[in-house]
Amino acid sequence: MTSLPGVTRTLLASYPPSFRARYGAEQVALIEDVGAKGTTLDLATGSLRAWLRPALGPTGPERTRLRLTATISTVWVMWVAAFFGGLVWFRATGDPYVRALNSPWGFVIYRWIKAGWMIGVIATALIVAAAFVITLVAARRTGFAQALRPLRGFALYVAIMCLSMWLLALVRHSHYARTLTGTPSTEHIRTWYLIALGAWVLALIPLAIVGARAPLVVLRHVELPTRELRLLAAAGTIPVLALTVVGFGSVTFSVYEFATRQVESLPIDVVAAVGLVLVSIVALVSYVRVMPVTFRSPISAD
Amino acid sequence: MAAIDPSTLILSSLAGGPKHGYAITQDVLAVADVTLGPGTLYGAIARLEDRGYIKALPGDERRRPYELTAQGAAVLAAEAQRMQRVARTTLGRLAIGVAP
Repeated sequence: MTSLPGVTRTLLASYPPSFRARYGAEQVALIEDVGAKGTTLDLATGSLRAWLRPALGPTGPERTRLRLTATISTVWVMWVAAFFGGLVWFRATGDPYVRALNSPWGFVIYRWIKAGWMIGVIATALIVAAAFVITLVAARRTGFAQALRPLRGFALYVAIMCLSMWLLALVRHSHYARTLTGTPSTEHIRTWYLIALGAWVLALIPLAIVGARAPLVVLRHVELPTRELRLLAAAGTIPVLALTVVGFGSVTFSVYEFATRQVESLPIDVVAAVGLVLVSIVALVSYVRVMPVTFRSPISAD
Repeated sequence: MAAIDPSTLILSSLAGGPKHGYAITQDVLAVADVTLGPGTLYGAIARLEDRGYIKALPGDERRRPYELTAQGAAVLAAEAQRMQRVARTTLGRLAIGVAP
């Protein structure tokens, strides 16, 4: 595995956990045999298909449970991607001020996007809190330490982020205080500012990766019963709909802005909006596929 | 031009006996001149296993062999007959088209 190119390893790691557990070693062996050249697109599309149409094994109650787990995992990963993509989009459309906001419809769409974003973030936070409590209850069987071990890395990066943000606030506060009192900013303050900023930026990417992955590993290890998974999947309707509004709204807004602005380079908000609409489509397709299981089928005995 | 579905190619390969991933790709390349990438191959294997058309045999975790099930053989036979019918009809029509 270590001999494989970084892109190939990343793409292999992007497959759903259940797929990697079942076919991961065989995929690596095959790539080692035939070579990694020309496999990038094939692996990327294969990963996307595996998220959208997970292989669930034989029919029966276990299949229902795996299907729900797979969809919850897909929606979660898409939400994490949308969260960071959304931050980029809001930042890019907020500075400089975009022209589309001056048109009545542009303003309305922007408000819908913002409302969708806020509702989605709050609903997701509540669902994650509920899922954490459910997981703690279920983890009594396997032991808390073992079940929650994958979250240690997540906690570490959150701690780094919080610490660096606190340091940033401290340094900025110190800088402003010195500016107001007429004392010039000193070199050591600038150094601390750069250290804090560097730690924040460097922790952001692993936080996104670990944040997307760790809860799924916990979910797979704890093996939540179908009933609890149904509740989580049903509650997921709100974030999925909110994400759909954010995805389609942002792409409409940014593409119109791009078309009327007559700029030569591709703006970052258009890239972020296209990313947002793609993750919203993946989440929606995955969710629609599991809806009959979530809302119609009788609850199976686990 | 649409190619033959990877699932059909894999089933066809396994009709000749159990094979692991690498052996399937080599067989498909030799028979159909189609290169199956690792993403396509294991995506199709996952779906076929999911539907009960093939099953994994005990073996090395990195090179696990697969074999055709009775259900998979029936599906493959039906698909082969359909393809044969299409091929025969197409060739017949072409022969009429090029005849003086």
